[in-house]
Amino acid sequence: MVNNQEKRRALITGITGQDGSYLAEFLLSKGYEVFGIVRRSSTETFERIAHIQEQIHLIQADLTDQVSVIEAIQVADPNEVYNLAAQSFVPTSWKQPILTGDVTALGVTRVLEAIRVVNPKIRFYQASSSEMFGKVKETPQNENTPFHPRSPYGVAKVYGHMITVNYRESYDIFACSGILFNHESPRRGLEFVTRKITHGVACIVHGLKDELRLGNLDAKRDWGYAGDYIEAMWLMLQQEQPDDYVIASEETHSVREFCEIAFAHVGLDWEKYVRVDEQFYRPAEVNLLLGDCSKAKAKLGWKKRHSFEDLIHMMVDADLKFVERHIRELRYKHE
Amino acid sequence: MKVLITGVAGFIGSSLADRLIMFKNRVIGIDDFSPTYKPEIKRRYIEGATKSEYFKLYEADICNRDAIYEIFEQESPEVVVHLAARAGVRPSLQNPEEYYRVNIIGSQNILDACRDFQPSHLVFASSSSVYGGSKAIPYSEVDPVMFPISPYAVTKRTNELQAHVYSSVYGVNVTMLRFFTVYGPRQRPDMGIHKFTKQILHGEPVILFGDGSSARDYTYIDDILDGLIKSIERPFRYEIFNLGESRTTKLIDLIEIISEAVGKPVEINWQPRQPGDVEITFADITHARTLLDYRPCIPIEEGIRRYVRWFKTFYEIG
Repeated sequence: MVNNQEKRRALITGITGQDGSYLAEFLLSKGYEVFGIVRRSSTETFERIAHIQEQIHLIQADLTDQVSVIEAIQVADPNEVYNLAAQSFVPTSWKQPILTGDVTALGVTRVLEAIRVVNPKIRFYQASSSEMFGKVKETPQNENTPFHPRSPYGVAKVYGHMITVNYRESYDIFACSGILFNHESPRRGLEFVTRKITHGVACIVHGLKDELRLGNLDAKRDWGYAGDYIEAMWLMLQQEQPDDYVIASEETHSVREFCEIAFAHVGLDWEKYVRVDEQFYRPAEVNLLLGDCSKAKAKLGWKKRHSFEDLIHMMVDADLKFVERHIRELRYKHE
Repeated sequence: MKVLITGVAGFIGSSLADRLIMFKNRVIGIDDFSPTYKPEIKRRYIEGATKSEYFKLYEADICNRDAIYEIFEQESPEVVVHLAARAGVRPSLQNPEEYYRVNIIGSQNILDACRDFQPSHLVFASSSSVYGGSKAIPYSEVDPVMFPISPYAVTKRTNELQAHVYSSVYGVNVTMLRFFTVYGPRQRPDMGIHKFTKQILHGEPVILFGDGSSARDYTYIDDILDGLIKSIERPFRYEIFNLGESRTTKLIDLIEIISEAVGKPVEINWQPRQPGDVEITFADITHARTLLDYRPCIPIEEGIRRYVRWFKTFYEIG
């Protein structure tokens, strides 16, 4: 079963998502044969991987279905598995906590079980999250900071993290968990606050709207660029020993600062457009999330390449083009 | 947030009210409980909402301008969702005057109130019927919609034009939503899916108008609620959005899906095609996806299963 070809093979769950699409590009550039798991569902969108669809292999499977996960691993016969699939939107985890637990928590066990029975030599990466720190016990947070998740999503991620550690200790599987702080990009879904802001700015610039409604402007996050964080995932699986690592920008900024920079980038005053709407407040907000990634810097030699401003400018520029292209296509259709 | 919903006791209105209340938004409901179908049924739909401290009901007719102004004055809603209307294509041919009165004049009162009381925006129900008999599918919001084939479609297209005037002249932010054949629990009893389900459940023949080849973009209520809530959260100056599944089902296939969900065979009573009915509806939802982040996700088979389950409970059919 073990693959001796020189070309290494990787399987990515959640390949259609933001991180999955960047990781697929990255691994292709490293010469990997890339496999991805997709769900058979009408909501599945392939926008983010459309440009590389010819170069990757997609396998139908669902993290809630053990047999399909085992089959996917048999088909892909990978050296590395990256588990990025999750119900990853925090507000939805309040609306659908059971589904979130099934996919985001038990889904990890299903992938680990599949590795255990198919080929325990496969190296495994689990996408853990800073949301696990929730009501933070110390600031900044590192690999030893105790967890206190504040949402069904955070709770599910703690399970995923611990089961990864457990399979490493119990079965000697090369399993790593990357505790990634918020990482954004132009490929973020429109439901996330960062993208909501940059998309809103683009709509305002193009005259489609004059108001942007947001939740808690004082909420602070440690935001980095997803493209930078992908490399850390890969580095973790290239080490001698499996371990867990925090990956962060080591800076914290508020939603307000994000707005200021995003609007200023197009020469607008954010205060004229942003309106606070308490409906967006979470039932339990997380406190000051700020990562300490000195371990990753020291052991993996990883460091971020893009600043907070770089990230926002990149996202606003992409959304300006995105909205402009959409308007142009509509007009074109009209003519 | 405080949201005013007109037509709150109807199919979409009551479903939206329940959803908003669940997330602790204040809902101000307006309905006149007109006897287009049994008012008792409408009362049952909002029974849950009326028990909530977040809900307040006004029994008023949107054609009664003074009553509407009084409610806006009293409540100062942040967002207005205008769903009240005479609905249905076929009945609009029987009684066009009533449709013009309620849908056009009544809606004008809501627009005037929005101009004068300035909620942050108005979300306004339109309909796929504005596309008329167009065969240029899928339907896009920028298609010229100049050839309606029912008075109902005329009123909905007129609403879009009325709203555009108020957006451009008075700065009223308006989002028009063109709903594509919405179905699901609480669906109006005069709609096809309701009738077919009832007939199949009772082992009666299904009366089918036309040859069964006409196709609809059936949209499950939860997907419509997704579009409505995103419209409430994201105001635009003036946009029209198609809200469909962007998938079509032929009438004959729909009946088969219902029969499967009910678990009973079906016998069809073929009848000639009805005037005003269109051959196909099919939404291009790129615009709503791009600007609203609208993501419909309930395929017809799943939606019908849920609907049939609800139907049996609501009408107490074992």
